[in-house]
Amino acid sequence: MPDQMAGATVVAPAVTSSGPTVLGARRHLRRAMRRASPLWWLGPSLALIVAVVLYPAYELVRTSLETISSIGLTEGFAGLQNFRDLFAEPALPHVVYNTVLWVVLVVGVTILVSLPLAQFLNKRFAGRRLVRWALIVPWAASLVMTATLWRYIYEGSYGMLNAVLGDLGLIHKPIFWYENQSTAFWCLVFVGIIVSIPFTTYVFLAGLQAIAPDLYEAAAVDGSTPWQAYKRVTLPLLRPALMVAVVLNTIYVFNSFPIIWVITGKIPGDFTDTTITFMYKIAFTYRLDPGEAAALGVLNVAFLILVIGLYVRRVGTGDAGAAPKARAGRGRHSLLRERVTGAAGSLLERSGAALAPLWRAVTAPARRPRQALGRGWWRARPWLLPAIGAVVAFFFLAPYLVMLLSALKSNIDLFHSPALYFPTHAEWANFVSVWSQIPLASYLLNSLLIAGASTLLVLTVSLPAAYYTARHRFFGRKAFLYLILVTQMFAPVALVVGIYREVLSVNGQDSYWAIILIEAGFALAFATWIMNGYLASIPVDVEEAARVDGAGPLRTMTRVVLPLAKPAIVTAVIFTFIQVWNEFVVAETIFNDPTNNRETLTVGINAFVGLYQTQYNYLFVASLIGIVPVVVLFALIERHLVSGLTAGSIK
Amino acid sequence: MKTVRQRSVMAAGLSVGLVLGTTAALGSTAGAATRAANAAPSGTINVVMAQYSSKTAPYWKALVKAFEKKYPTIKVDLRVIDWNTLLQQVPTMIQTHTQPDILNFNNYSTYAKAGLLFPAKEVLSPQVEADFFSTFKKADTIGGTQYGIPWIASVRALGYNKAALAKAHISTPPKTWAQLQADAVKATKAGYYGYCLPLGSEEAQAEWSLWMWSNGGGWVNAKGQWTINSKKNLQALQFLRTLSNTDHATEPNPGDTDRTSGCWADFAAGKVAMTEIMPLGTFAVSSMKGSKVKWGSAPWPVANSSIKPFTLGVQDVLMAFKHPGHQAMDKAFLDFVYQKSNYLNFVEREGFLPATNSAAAALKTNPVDATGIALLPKAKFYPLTNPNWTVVQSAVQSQLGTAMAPSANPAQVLSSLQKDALTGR
Repeated sequence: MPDQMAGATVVAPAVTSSGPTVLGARRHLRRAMRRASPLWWLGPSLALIVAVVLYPAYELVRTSLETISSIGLTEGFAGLQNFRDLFAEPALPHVVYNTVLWVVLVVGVTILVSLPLAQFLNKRFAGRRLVRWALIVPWAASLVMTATLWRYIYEGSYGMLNAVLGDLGLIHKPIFWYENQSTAFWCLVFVGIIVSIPFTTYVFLAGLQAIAPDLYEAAAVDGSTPWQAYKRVTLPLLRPALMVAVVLNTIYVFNSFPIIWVITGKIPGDFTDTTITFMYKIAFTYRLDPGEAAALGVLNVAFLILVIGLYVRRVGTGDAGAAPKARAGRGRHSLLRERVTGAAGSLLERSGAALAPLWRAVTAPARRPRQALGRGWWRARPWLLPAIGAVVAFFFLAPYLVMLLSALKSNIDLFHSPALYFPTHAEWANFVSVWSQIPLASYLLNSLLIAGASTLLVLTVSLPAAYYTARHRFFGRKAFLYLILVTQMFAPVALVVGIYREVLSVNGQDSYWAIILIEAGFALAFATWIMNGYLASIPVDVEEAARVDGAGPLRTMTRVVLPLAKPAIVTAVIFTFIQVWNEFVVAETIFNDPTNNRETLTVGINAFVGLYQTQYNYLFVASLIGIVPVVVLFALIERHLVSGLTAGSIK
Repeated sequence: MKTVRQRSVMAAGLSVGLVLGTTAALGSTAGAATRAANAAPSGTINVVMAQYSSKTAPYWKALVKAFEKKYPTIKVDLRVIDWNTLLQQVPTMIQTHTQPDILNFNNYSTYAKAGLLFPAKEVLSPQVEADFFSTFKKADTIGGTQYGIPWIASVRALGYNKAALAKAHISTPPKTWAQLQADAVKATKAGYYGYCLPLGSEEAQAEWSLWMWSNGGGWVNAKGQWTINSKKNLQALQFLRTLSNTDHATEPNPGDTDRTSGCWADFAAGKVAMTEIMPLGTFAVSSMKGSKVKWGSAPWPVANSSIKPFTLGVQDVLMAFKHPGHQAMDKAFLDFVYQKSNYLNFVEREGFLPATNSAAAALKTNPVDATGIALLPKAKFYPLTNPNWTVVQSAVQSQLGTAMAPSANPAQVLSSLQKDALTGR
C-alpha cells in the first residue's frame, strides 16, 4: 500500500495539492458517487473480458479435466489423467527446453538490439523518418504472411537466402535451412527477433522521449561523460519502458504461434516445437487429444502468470528500496538522484506512461547533449548517420523487397533454382488478376470493417476504464489492472474451442458483431494499459478547474481529458488496429464462411495455399496489398497526432 | 410400398436417361423434383465441404442455388473450408456438438464407430448407391454397413522426367526396386535428384504405403491387425535409408520434404528425375502449370516379381451425421449432388478421378484421366475402416520422416507407430 500511495503522489501530484480547494459538501457527494461508480466505468471492460477471455479460459480448464476422444467426443471426467498423459510425453522435456531457449533468446536479443537502435533513431539525421517508417513495415505485415515469406526465403532449392549466400561465395551447395535439424531452430529465432524489434524499438523510443532534456544538462554540469550520462540518466529512466518491453515481449514470444507453425510446423518430429505449437500438435496432429492439449494450455498460462508475476514483483519492489541507491551513484550526483528516483511511481502506471509518448518519438526533434562529441564525429555525422540509417532500413525492408519481386514472378520463376533476384518477365498482371482469383475486395472490406469497429469499440470501452483507474483509488483497482495484464497471457490458440462454443451458443458464428466483440476483447488490455498510464501522467488541476465550473465527471473526461490524451489514444488506435487487422487464429475459427465471402484478409488469402500448390505470387501480391491500409492509417493518424500534440501542449 | 415401386421405376428412368443423354436426364430430374414435392421434406441442412482449389467454393455456391430452386422447402447452409482449417475445425464441431448434416472429409471410420453417422443407404437413392466403384464401397463399409460415401479419388504412379532419363541413358522407367536404385544413382550423376522422396508430413502416409506395399508389407495383415513394425516394412524403410544416406540418390532431408512444395515443385522445375506423382488432371494442370518438363508416368516399381502390380487409391468421402428427421433432406441433396452432370462437373473442374462408374465412363476420352482411371481397379486403400486410422495417419505424418536421419533408429520409429496404432492415441 505505501508504494502505491507514493506512486499516486508522484504520478499525479495535483491530486493532493488541489484537493483542499474543493468544497466539503460537494466532496462528500462526489465520494459517495465514486464508491458506487467503478462499475459504471469499468463494467463494459469487465464484461468484455469475462466474455472473451474468462469464460473460454474456464472452458479450457474444464476441458483439461475431461476425457475427449480423437474426433472430439467428450467421454467423461478424467481427473488429472490428461496431465499425467502430458507428463508422460517423451518429447515434453525437449519442448520445454526449446520454449525456454526460444523466449530467452528472442526477448534477450530483441532488447539488446532495440536499445541502441532506439538510441540511434532518436538522433537527428537526414532521412530518419524514412528509417522509422521502414521499421513499421515488418510490424504492419501480418505474422502469418511474414512467416510464409521467410519460409520461402529459407527454402533449400529455390530460396533467396541460398542464392545470395551462393553468389557471395559463402556456400557452395544449397543448405536446407528450415528442414535441417541443426539450423531450423536458429532460423526461427532469427525471424522471431526481426519481427519483435520494431515494436520494442518504438517502446524504447517513446521512453527516450519521456526523459526531460534538462536531466542531461544536469548530468553535464556534474561532469558526466556521455556513457556515464547514459548509465545514470537514460538507463534508469528507461526502466519503465524496459519493463513494458520485457513483459509484453515475453508474453508475445511465449505465445508466438504463426512463426513456428508456418515455417517448421509441418516438419516431422518436434525439434523446433515450443509448448504452444506442441499444444496445437497434441490437439490436432500428434495425438488428436483435445483434453491433453487443454492440460498443456492451462500449464502454459500458469507458467506465464508465475514468471511475469515474479518479474513484475521484483522490479516493482526494487524501485522502492535498493534500486535508487544503485542507480544514482554518490552524493555528487544529488540533483540527478532526486530527479531520477522521483520518477518512480506505481509500476503499471509508469510502464504505461512510458509507452504514451510513443508517437512523439516519430516526430519530435532529438535532444542530445553535444559537449563530449569530438570534432571528427561532427564532420562525419551528416553522412555517417544517414548511411547507417540506410543500412538499417534496407535490413528491415529486404524481406519485403523479396516479397514484391516474387509477387511479380511467374510460376516457373518462383521455383527457379537457384532463386532469381528479378523476374525474367515482370508479371504486373498478377496485381490485377489477384482481385478476381479470390474475392479480395470483400476480404479487404471485411478486415477494414472488423478492425475499424473493434478499434472503435476498444476505445469506447477502455477509455473510461483507463481514465477511472488513473484518477481514482478504489477497492479492486489493482486487481483490475492485473486482470487486464493476465488477459494477454492466454494464447488465442488455447481459447479457440471455448470461444467457438460460446459464439455458437449465441448464434454468432460468421457474423460481424461476434468477431468484432471478440477481437476487441483481446485488444482491450493493451489499450487500457497504455491510456491508463498516459492519463495518470496528465496533471489533474485542469480537470479540477472544469469540475469547479460544474462539469460532471463524464463531461470532464470527454471535454477536457480527451483532447489532452490524444497521443495516447492515437497510440492505442494504431496498436489495436494492427493487432486486429493481423489476427488469424480466432478469425479463422469463428469468421470463416467463404461461401458468403465472410473471411478476413489474413484468413482469406490462404486460398492460395492450395491442397496441391502454394501460389506464392498471388499470396505475396495479396499480402502487399494488405500492408497498404495499415500504412495509410499510419500516415493519416500521424498528422492528427502532431496537431494533437501542439493543441494539447502538455508539459 | 407404392413409393418404393415408384422409385424403382424412376431409377430405371434415370439410368435410361444417363444412357440417352441430356434431354432424358433433364426429364428424370424433373421427376425427382416432383417426387420430392410429394415427400415434402422441409427445413435446413448444414453442409460443410472441403476446399480443393479456388474453384471449389464457386462450384458449391452455384450447386446449392440450383438445388434450392428445385427444392424450395429445403434450405442449405453451406460452408466451404480449406483443408488445413477443416482438420482443426471438425474436432471442434464434434466437441461442441455442432457437426453438420453433410461433411466432406478424408476419414469416416472413427465417426461411424462412435455412432454419429447415418448408414449410406439411408441417405442415398439405390441407383446412386449402386453407381460407386465396388473397391471404394468396400473401403467405406464397416461390419457390412456402408458409412462413407465415396466422393473423389486419386491414384499414384511413378512420374519421370523424360529428358532426365535420356541424359542418364535410361531407356525405360524402372520396374523393380533394384532398377530404381540403379537408375536413381545414374540420374543423380547426371545432375538430378535421382528419386525425390517426400516423407515430410504433408502426405507421408501415401509415399510410405507405396513402399510398404511394393515390398509385400503393409499397414495391416489379412485379419486387419496392425503390422506397421513388420520385417518387410522395416526392410522397405532400410531400402529408402540406403537410397538416401548411402547412395545419396534422393534430395537432401527426404524426411522433411513435402510432396507439393518440395518434390513436385522441383519436378516441375526440372531438377527431379523420378518421384511419386498423381497421373491426373489436377497434377497436370496445377502442379506442372507453366513447366517445360516433359514427363511420363509408370506403374510403381516392386521389390520382386512375386508382388502384383498395384497403385495407391486415395479417396475422400462425404458422410451424413445423424440428425433425426434430416434423412429425407440429406437424400434429396446427395442425390442432386451425384447427378451425373453435377458430379462430372466437379470432378472435371478439380481434376480428380470420379468414384462412380458412370462418371468414369464419361471421362475415358480424356487422355490424362484415362491413365488414372485405368489404374483404379488395381487400387489399394489405406485401412480406412479401422477406427484408429485417424491417429495412425497423424502419427505417421508427424513421426515417420524422423526415421530418415542417418542417426535415427528406423526400427524404433516403426515400433512407436505400431504402439500408437494399437493404443489409438
